Amino acid sequence: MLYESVFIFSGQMSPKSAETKFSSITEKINKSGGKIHKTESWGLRSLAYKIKKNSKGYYYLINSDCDSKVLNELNNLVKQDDDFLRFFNIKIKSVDKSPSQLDESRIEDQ
Amino acid sequence: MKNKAFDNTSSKFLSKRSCPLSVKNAPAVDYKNIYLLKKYTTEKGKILPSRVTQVSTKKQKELTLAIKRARFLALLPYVSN
Repeated sequence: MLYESVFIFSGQMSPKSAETKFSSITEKINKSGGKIHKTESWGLRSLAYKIKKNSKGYYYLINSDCDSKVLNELNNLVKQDDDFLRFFNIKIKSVDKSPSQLDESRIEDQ
Repeated sequence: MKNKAFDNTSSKFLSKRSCPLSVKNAPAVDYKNIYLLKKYTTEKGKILPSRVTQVSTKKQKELTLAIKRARFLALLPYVSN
């Protein structure tokens, strides 16, 4: 099953620690035998409203082909950790290889 | 003559603008495309009715889902001043 997940980390973290947290998640998916088709970093964005007293957050997107159990595990992990602001999953039918509207590389091009 | 007059009025009042999201090369409705979604919300953040924007029923359903997803991810506000 193909999934698209978006993570938001607290904006109070340093960019490096956000990056390492994100890579720990991708490792977990890889270890469970899932495939990662695409990852995107949307950088530090200001939130439309405050979440857990944060007004900024680091956005990351993963398109993966993995078991739903992994995502359930991640969900439990996210609930315990205060550095996670949001965790969001949807099923997708196909992977869109081109970078999305919010991808950092795309903004730099303009 | 009668028919002609009737046709004129009908074309004035019954002509419908087509759905801007169903045309060829129309942008895909997606929660990541916030620049598109912002066009279909009011300044306060409410979703505009399709009766105002002329969006088809099918596309309007996609729009509301996309806007609600974007709101959850704090890309769009639930309410803004």
